[in-house]
Order: sequence, then C-alpha cells, then structure tokens
Amino acid sequence: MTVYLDLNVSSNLGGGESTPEEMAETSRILGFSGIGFSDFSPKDKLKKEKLRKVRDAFSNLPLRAYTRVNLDFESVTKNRKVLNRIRSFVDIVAVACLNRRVSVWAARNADVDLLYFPEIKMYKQVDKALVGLLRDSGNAVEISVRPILLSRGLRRANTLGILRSAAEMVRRGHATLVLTSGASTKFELRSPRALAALGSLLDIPYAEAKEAVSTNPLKIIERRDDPD
Amino acid sequence: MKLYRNRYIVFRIISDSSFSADNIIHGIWRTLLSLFGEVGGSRTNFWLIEYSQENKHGILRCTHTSVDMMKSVLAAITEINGAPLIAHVLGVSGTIKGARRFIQE
Repeated sequence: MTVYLDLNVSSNLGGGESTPEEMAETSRILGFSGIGFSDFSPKDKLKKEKLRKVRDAFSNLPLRAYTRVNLDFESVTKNRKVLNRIRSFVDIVAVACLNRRVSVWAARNADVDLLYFPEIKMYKQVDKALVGLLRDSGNAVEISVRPILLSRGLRRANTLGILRSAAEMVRRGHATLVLTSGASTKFELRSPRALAALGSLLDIPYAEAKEAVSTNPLKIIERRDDPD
Repeated sequence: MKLYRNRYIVFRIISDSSFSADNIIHGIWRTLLSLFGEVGGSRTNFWLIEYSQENKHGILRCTHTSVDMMKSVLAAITEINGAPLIAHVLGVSGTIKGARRFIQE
C-alpha cells in the first residue's frame, strides 16, 4: 500500500486555524498516512519538554504526526546554531531560503531535510548549482500548492510560471521534490491525488507528482529513522 | 465515429456549509475558466450529472481527454459563495452506473 505524506500543515498550536485533531481527521479522510505539523518555531525557544508534550498530544491522532521546525533566520550562523540544538528531537527540519547564502548552506547540509521558499519570487534561487548541491546531499525542495490555491488572475499566472520553472529545474537536475499543501485550515488540505493533479499544472508528470507526495517525503522521514 | 468518450468523476464536498447543484456548477465553471480559459473549458464537455445536497456527493461528466484537467479544477476550488470547501475526488468511471458504485462504497 502506498504511504502518502503531507509534510507541511499547521494547526492552531502554530499559526493555523483548525485544531490538530481536525487537521488529522480531515487528512485521514483524504487518504494520508501521516502529516508534518509545522507548528514549532525556533523563535519560541523550543524546549525539549514542550516538543515532547505536543508530540504526545499528536500520538492520540488517527494518523502518524511528524514534528517539523522551520528555520527562518537570515543568517547561516543563527540557523546552524538552532539546527544543532533541535535536530535530535524533531522529525523534519525545513530551512527558509531567504537569501542565497542560506540556500547554499541548507542545500549542502545533510542535517537539513527540506528547503522552502516563503515568497514566490524566492523560488528564482532554484538554479543548476543549487539543484546540484541538493542532488548530492539528498535534501529536497518543497513546493507548497497553497499559493496556487489562494491567488487569482494575474498573480496566479505569475505564481504558476515561477513554480513551473523551479519544478522543471529540480526535475532536470534529478533532485528530490516534495509537494505539500501548506494548509493552515482543514479546508486548505488536499488529497494526495489532488496535490498530484495540481502538480500537473506545473507540468510535473502525474507519476512524478505522486512520488512527490509519497516516496519522496517517506525517504526524508526514513533517513532520520535510519541515518546510515 | 465518436470523437471522444465520456468519463464520470465522482466527488464529495467536504464543508461545514451546504451547497445547491447550481452553486457547485458555478464554482466549478469559475475555476475551470480561471485555470484553463474559455477554449480549454469548451473542450471538457463538462456537465454536472447529479449532486446530492444531502450526502454532498456529486458526479460530473467530462471527456476522457480532460479528466486530469477536471481533477486539477476540483483540487483548485477553495470556496463557493465565501464558504470554504474541499472537492474530494472519489473515483473516475466510464459509465454512470460505475460512478454510482463509488458513492455506494
């Protein structure tokens, strides 16, 4: 049976509107086996105890919940410092590619799992050199479908164009691509097949888009379980 | 000679609000036109065969060449009349009878 994972949802414990239970229940109905909650901010001074507490709350949910921390500092030094502190007790570490230095550092660093781009224009950083580094480290580029869903007209056309170029670059360079919903309410969640269908708007072949919500996120989770 | 074959997409609306069939048709057309334009929309042969307001299941018809397009459209619908929703595809069938089986399941 194929395992489908959405590695980027946020509940009302973070910046979202729905409860973790609502997010988990809707994800289960949509066919996911696990979701990554990005409710943890390093700026909140993450404590081991707090993470354990939240993780325990997630353990009662009807599907597997993963803890995800977004490192969103503009300085490499600060990102590195926080990464060293949290790596051992979170499932997924994603780095916001706010500038080129951070992107290159994150693409090289094997302790990082995902590279994400908080603003659409930042996807323009995805070029041959960055994709080469990603291929070597095994880190993945995350494309969230949320900006596609929430924009309209010219803005959506622009969004689709930039995301399509980034996806094409990642695919050509044989780096790993992960599609996520980026949902902050339960109605922003999309089923794995719906995410793959939205991936087809970015010219990602359906089979590859399906891998981007199944095999690829699973690889990320498994490499943490088994670092060797 | 038939130029295209029909496909029937079964979907379920996940929402706290209730929608009429007209609301659903309007929501789908709006997203279809927004994503693929008038020419793209005309090629789908889209028609809402049925929609049950009670159990929120619906069946829409499209051509076999536009199934993926219609799946993207359903995935891209975020709200109708301001009420947020998910249009969750349950399956695709070549016959209405087959499509109804998805709903029964």
